[in-house]
Amino acid sequence: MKSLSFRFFLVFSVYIAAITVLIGWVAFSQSNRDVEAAVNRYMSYAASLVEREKPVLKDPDLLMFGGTRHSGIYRETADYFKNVADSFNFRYVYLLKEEDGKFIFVLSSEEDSADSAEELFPVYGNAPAELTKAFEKKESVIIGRVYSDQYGSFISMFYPIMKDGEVVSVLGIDYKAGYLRGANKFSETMTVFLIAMMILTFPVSFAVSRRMVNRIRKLNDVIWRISEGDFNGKVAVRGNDEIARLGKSFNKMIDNLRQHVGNLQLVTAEKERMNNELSIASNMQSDMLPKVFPKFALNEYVLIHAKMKSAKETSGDLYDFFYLDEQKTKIVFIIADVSGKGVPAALFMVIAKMLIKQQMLQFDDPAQALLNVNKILCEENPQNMFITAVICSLDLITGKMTYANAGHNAPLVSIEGESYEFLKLEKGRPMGLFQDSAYENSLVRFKYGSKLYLYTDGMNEAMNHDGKVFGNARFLETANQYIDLQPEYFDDAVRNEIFNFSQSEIPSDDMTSISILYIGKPKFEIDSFDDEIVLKTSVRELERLLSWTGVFMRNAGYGESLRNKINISVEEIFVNIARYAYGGETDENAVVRLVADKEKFVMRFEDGGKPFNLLEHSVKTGKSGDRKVGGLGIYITKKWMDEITYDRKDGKNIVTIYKFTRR
Amino acid sequence: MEFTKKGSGNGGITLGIKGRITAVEEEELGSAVNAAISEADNIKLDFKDVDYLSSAGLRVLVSAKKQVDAKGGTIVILNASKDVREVFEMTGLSDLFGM
Repeated sequence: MKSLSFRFFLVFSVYIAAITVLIGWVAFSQSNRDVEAAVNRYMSYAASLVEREKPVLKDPDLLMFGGTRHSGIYRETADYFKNVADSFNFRYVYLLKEEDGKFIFVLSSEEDSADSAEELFPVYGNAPAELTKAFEKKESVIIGRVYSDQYGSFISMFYPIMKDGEVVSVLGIDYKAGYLRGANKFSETMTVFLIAMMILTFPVSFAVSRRMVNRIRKLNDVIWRISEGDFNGKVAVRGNDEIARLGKSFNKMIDNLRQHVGNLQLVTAEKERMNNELSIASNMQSDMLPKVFPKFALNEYVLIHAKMKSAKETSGDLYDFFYLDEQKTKIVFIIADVSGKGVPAALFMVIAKMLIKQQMLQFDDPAQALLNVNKILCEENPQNMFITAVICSLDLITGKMTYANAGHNAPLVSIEGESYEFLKLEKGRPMGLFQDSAYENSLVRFKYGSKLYLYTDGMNEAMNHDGKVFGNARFLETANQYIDLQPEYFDDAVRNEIFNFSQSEIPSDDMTSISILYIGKPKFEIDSFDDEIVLKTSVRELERLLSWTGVFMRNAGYGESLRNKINISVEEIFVNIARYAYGGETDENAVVRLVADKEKFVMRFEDGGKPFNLLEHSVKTGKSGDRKVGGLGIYITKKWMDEITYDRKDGKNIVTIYKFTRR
Repeated sequence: MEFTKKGSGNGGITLGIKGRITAVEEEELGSAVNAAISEADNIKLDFKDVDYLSSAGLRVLVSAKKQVDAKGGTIVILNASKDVREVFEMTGLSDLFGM
């Protein structure tokens, strides 16, 4: 790239050179014209002098009298011509006369130029136009051009000699054009001067452009420092030219910028503080939701997993579950979604959570709770926020679930161990809008193995980047794909599918869900098993165990995939007992009993080894291949079986696995 | 269990496996896979005829994967059935074996 200084330099130089050449040309042509005029006057003066001194020129025939050049007057005139030529520094002075359309040479300043009177001026037809002009126009004419021949350069003039108004002869003068050498010298000098001028121009224009660009460069340095975040720089301003004015504007800009950055830092700090407070609010909010989920314990009727992922720091979603009695025979599930997001929605949500819980504890009636909470919310709701909710109250002993809806989306339910479908809901308006909104209870009866999935519309209506919605059909299909998984893994799997669809770490709306598996107490009171087998606690017995199990599973009509899952789980439990219960493989006995029918598969392992709770020996998965592989078997079993229990009784380890098979 | 070996050395080995992989077959599978690893850097395991795989099989394969990685080779599982694939996916191991 050409630098600015180079461009300045170029423009300066060309400009100065052009001016110099123009001036030179004007001066040269002017001086040429002056010289020409002076020569003209000089020659005219000489010619008129000759004409005055020698009246005989008016009578050329007299000079040529007798056709000879030896007359006294001829010689005298020739001498005179010679004197004139010498003293005026003419090369040649001569006289012509016209005769019969030709010019005849009469005499000249050079004696021996010709001897014969008959010698004619050699040219007339092609005589110089100026000669003809002098003759016809009767005035002296100078040939503007300079002639050069072997005798040197000269300039010619023709001067007509008049007698009685007629041209009788023409006096010719050749002036030695010595002045030309002077003129040449002048132009040489001029050229040298021009070149010198141009050469001089270069450093000057270079220095000037350097100086100008240097100031811009300094300006640039300051700008650079500012762009690096150093606002202490200031442009030094000198004079009042454009660059100085630019510098002034710049200084003003730096001042403004410094102020803005100062403000920005303040605002950022303020925002940071608010974010911190929001994150505290977010923590507080999520701390209000129950975090301990009942699972893997003999004395629990349900497995529950719940999760809330917010679109902003604070959420307008809400889930809750709590027992209504100390015996834990009745449990309430709540899912709710406040209109809007962020802090206002979060505050509204907290109020709603408190009110619903209080109402449910007092009345244990979902429709009543919705009715009352709606009234309270309507009383003080200037912002017209509203909340949708489903409240479920489940009797764990009987499996009877009462539920009511306030404009929420239908939960998924799998009641008889069938596929998931949408739970039938009575219509009910969202809470917080109308005082007179009415709500109705519905009833459903759960059997063991029934499943319930409550969620907010951030789940089934999750959007991808193209604005496509996950949709109910896909949501239902996804739920059924993972229906076999336990609540926690089921929820993870569904959320994972939604994430794969939306490809967004931060959801467009809060995503909240409760996944529930109803076990029910009575099922685990297994009083009799279908069969039992006594095995040595050695892996060698595995084949026998699996084929024994296989027979019962086939008789119960289990599909291949289910058989595979149960088989693997059975193997993992047995191999663990064989390897660890006696501190290595032995020939001690273990007793295995099973029940396998259309509704359930239950297998109980008893061994007399040292206390060993294999449930405490599982690992979490990670993405690294470097994991401990020792606990993988139990991990797989926990995922596939609906429940595993461990008990230590009468010096025996008792492990029981359960699988609901009614699908 | 039955094994069929195709290829050798630099071209890599494809080891076809037939049968169930339980804790009983752990050792047998281990030695067959180890023999293949000592022979070639790049191993393909064809699971077309494997319909059952428990954590015992996973242990063998994870240990094989570590050996092959140390050698700068590859180990890939082909044609795994839906059930077998589910075991890998659930334990988060499927990506290790190019499944």
